[in-house]
Amino acid sequence: MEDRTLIVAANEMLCEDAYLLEAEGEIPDFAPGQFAMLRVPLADRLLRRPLGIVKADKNAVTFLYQVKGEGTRALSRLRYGDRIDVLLPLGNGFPVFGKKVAIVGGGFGVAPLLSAARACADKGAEVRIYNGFASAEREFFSGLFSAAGKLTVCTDDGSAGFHGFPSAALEADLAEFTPEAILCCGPSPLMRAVKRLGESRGITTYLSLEQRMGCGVGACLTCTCKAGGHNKRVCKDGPVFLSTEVEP
Amino acid sequence: MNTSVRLCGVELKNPILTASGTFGFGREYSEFYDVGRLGGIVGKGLTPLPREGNDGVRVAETPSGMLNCVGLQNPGVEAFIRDELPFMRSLGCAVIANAAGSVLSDYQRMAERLSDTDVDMIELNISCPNVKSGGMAFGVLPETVEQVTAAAKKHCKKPLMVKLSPNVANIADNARAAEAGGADAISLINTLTGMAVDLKTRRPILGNVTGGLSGPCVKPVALAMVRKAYKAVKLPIVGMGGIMTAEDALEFILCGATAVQVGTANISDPLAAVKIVEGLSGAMKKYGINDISELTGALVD
Repeated sequence: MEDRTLIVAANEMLCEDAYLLEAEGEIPDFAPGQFAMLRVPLADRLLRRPLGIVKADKNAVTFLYQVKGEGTRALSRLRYGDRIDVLLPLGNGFPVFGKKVAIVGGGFGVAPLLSAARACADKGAEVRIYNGFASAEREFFSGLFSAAGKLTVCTDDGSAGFHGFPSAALEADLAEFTPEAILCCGPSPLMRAVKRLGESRGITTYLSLEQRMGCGVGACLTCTCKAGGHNKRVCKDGPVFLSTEVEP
Repeated sequence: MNTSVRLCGVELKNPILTASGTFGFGREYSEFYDVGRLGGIVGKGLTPLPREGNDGVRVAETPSGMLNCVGLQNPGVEAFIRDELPFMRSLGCAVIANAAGSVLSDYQRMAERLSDTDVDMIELNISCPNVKSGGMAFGVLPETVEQVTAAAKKHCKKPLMVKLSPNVANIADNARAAEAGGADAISLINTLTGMAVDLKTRRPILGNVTGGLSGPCVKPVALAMVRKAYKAVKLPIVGMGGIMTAEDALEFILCGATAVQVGTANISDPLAAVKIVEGLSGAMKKYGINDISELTGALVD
């Protein structure tokens, strides 16, 4: 993990509260599902914001984020050429599978799954992706995901693709598709549904959790979650956990 | 130029320590830099048995600060001695163990147990809530500060530093109480009790409702309390509260501190403590300070 000052190359609004930030600089290698902590460009804000890495290469990294409060609003005001302090890569990331993998994302949770889908595809896996969004206007990265595997877009309101949770779309496919693992990131209700589904079918399921974070490096113990009855650090021991360990 | 200081007979290459609870046991930050360049590390607060800490949201951001309610999650003193202390000892800086408890005998036991190890000092954490004495923290009333300090000191063979809470009527009385109880040093300030709420959900943000406020927003309070304590006792003082820069550290020393602890800054920037060490000689030069110990308490007021 490195502390880098990157230069903003683009910071565009995808829909009302969703932004895509691209920053350039020397980018260390990262594992799929690892994340970054970005310093907020406000003098009186001390805590960095944990953001999922959508994609990265040696010279640029792309983050998806939701504007939720003052800090992320300030991030959304960053312009081309601005500097930003980024700590990356952080956390454990998803394991990579090479046979058959199901990837289930919900809303902003699709961000860390793109690199996981690509890594599994590169390893020769049959990758099926089930991405769910509130509505068609909030659909992200379908072109990118389609290149990594067979994508099923799901919407809560039925305005695009499968009408319902992506967990339901996956469940329908399980009759003829038996993945060796399910990788999931999204809102808690979706992760609970995927946990139930994976465990009931005996499929190893990994969940990437989200939590308010302090340091992002494992020292302050503020982003803990219960895993196997004990507190584990989402930032350092996670964010990816076996579904059997955690209660999302 | 001399940045080294002596704290209760312990030689520190510089007066920059890390504050308990913000630095783990040094492992995470040693992935970023040579932690041995610091004056020392104060480890995460320890209790006789492992503790899971509080449930729910444990951190909230506030203007120029943060609230936390971790609740003393720690592996317990035995696991610390077995699994963490050898690593801390290998780093090449002073090692201070932070000891907490819920009853008087815990403090006695902790000080006794840690005396049998090669820690350099023990910092007594007496601002932990939910303890004896009518549920009030040991750190609030001068009488209990003296009582718990004396209990810990009884079988303590290491220099004992008592960490004072700012949530008190008169910090000078509590500093004097620690001195009367036999403390070898005092450190202050611990966090201020605070709260953050969400208008939308009409709920507190923290799982524990209230938490401890830290960061630059508490620095003026901390400076005033360090000064007041400095005038009240003869003990060496370790100052803390919102130190982000070498200049901040010097301000605490000017008000009476022999050494300082950097806390929240580590959470904001993993390199913060070593950056402060690096900035020290430049800041000393700028303000005409040759020997950092000469600055202790030199405030003209």
